[in-house]
Amino acid sequence: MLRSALTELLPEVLEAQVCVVGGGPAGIVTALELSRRGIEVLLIEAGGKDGPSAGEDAYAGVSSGRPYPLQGSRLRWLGGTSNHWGGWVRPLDPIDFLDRPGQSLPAWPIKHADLKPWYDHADGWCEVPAGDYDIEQLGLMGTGRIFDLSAGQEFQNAFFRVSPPTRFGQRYRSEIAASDRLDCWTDLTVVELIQASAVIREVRAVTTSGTETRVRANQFVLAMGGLEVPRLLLAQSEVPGNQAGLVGACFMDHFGIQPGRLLAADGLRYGMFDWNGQTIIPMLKPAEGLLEDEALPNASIRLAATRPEQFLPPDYWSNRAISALQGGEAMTYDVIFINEPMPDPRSRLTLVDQQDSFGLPRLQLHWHLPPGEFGRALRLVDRFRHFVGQVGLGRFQWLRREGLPEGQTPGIGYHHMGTTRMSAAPDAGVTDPNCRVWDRDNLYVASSSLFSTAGFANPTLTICALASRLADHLADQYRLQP
Amino acid sequence: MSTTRRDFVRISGLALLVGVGGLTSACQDRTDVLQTPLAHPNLADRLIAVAVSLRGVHALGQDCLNRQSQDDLTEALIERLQVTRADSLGQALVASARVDFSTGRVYEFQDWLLSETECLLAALSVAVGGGTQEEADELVYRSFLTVKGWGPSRTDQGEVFNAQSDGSGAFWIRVDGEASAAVRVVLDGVPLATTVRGGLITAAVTPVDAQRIVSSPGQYPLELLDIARNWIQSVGALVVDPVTAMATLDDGRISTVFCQPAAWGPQQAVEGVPFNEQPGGESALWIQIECAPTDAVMLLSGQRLPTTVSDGLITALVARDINPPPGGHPVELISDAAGERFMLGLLEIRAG
Repeated sequence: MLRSALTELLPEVLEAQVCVVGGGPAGIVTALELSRRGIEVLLIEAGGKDGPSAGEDAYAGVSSGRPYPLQGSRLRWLGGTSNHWGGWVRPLDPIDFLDRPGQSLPAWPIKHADLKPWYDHADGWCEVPAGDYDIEQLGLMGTGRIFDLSAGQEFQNAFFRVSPPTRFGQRYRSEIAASDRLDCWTDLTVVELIQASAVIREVRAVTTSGTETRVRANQFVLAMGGLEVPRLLLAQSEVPGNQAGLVGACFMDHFGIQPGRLLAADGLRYGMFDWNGQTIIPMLKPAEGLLEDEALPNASIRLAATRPEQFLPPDYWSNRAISALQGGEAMTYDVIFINEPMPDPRSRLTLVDQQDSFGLPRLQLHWHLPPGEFGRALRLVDRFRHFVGQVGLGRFQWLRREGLPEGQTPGIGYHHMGTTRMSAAPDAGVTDPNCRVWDRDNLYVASSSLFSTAGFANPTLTICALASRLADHLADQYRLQP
Repeated sequence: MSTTRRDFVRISGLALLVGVGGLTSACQDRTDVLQTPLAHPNLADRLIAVAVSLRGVHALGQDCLNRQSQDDLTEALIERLQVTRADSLGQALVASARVDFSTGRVYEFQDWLLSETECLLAALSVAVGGGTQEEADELVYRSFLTVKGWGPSRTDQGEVFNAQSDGSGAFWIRVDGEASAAVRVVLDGVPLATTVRGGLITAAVTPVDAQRIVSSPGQYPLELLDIARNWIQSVGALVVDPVTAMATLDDGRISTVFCQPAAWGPQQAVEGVPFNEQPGGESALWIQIECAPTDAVMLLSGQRLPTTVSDGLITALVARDINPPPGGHPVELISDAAGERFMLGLLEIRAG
């Protein structure tokens, strides 16, 4: 069922086996995976069914440190940010799950292999072809669209798949509406967790018109995204999961830089195009060995054809005595790096005294992205510029050798990650490996806020994989019960 | 008398250039030069032939030459090439550059990271009078893509074309084959955010630019620009049609057949003097109007006038024997078929 709390009679108490708060991709996947397994689910969405109802003001907040547009890209209606996402889909790399030099906090308590079956599942949710993200299988080598790189080299070809993009609120609406196990209420904002010791007994939810209800469930799943999940937790008189002071800490977003130009063969397509019936975005990335050995951040590298530069025109690289291009033409490309951020407790969400119209304190984000973070990314760029010369792919020109000064916002992905990080032990995170808040028996998180580290890949596929895995874990508990 | 490095290069280059003429004529196909074995007795001449033929190296070559510490560029290069143990001159040049990158023998020029080998080669090229470098190209109009279809080509004033949810406008252009990723769509001289997917090119016009365009009727050229080659070709023009408001009738309704007149006249005359006199001695009234039904009739003081409706203009004759007295005389338009009537204004007649 799909109902609006503004237009339908809202009961004083709603009950289900599991309550999922937040109707974005994480919440919808969790709720539908559970309902498909026969579990009674309540899905609570703060926004409307088809568009932003009143209440978007709730997202307003303040930022300090490096400026960050807190309201940017966020959508408050069924489907959440998937209502305008670009559809880039790719799992995190195996190395993204591992501890690496230079990290002040441990990486994921699970491995890529643990999530692999759920990634396969998430491909379906995101409506992209199932299968490994192995560029060899695409048959692009030798076409001139990507560099012919072999295993063992410092940089590798890789690719994103591109979802239609799936608008989760539209795509799965009919199943939500038709399910007799799933009761979805829109226009209902959860503002309080009623707690008793280590248990969430119920949650209090309100509408913009002031009506209120209590939601009772055996388990509660917070799936409101990387900003709203920690906000709700921090707003409670007893903050769940904050035994290490990490609720709201370690905020991360993928940041972009355009450090230079590349002179290389004409016809390279490190951007979106259709290939053998699927839409893909090839890119380059550092080999895992390079990341392990040199303590460098992971990154995706894309090329975009641009105007020739005056001192080294494309003619230069078409000289066969210099480039070994077999009579082909050359092209100048802008080089774009999308970089892995580091989890850092100093990058943190807190609450301010001011409240929104629902009575929830507003957020303050202190985004700690110091020059050193750019320094790591630029060291990777430096390796790349030498690499292209060593293997004869092209020549690199610096456009920016320095990081962005404090006070300036780099290109960002609006990927809010890390603020209720998953950890192997309570002193290094907010949730356990099963997404359960460490010090609460029945409170779970399904969100990019779980990300212990962020890699460079857009987070939606990993969000869906984690949500599917969580639903399976919750369903297991019911299977074990008589 | 000692010979300076610069002199040596110059003399050496000139001397060798004599040989180069013969050499290049003997080796019409430059491939042959690049395939010269490293053990070839005339390797130096062949190397110079390659240097002469290089394109786009002048700026680099000049810089390298100024900073070069080698006394004999040719000799320095050959020394490096021999180390590569490559089969041919071409392979050796490329291999030597790669080795330079691996061993840190690199050279920065205008923030480009280059190998010392290519720096030497570029310097040699300039020293022997080669190393062409064309000036930055002017924009060249040429047809570089075959356009199979595009749109939208027309919109009404105030209506954003192919409007997107964020208020931007959008174009699509379908071309034969696969377009280069360097292609940009240009509207009214402004390059647009362009996406190329195979033969389909799409482009977005920002909400601000889209509003600017649709606010003024006219034709806005749409072009394809290859930013890598500075080629530009015309696709067509987006036509923004003016939208004329419909007239307000005397009873307050909005007309379904008459546009709001743009102008009418004359609006003043002198008693007894024909106004806007016609060859037959009649007076004439006129109305500039974008749309009107063919049965439209003009009235003067309630009297129907012989009326002609043409494209954008309505005229009516006032017979010679009609002499309106001083005062204001209503000028009206009616359409019996539409059942509509509205007044344009008063024709003011002054006493003669």
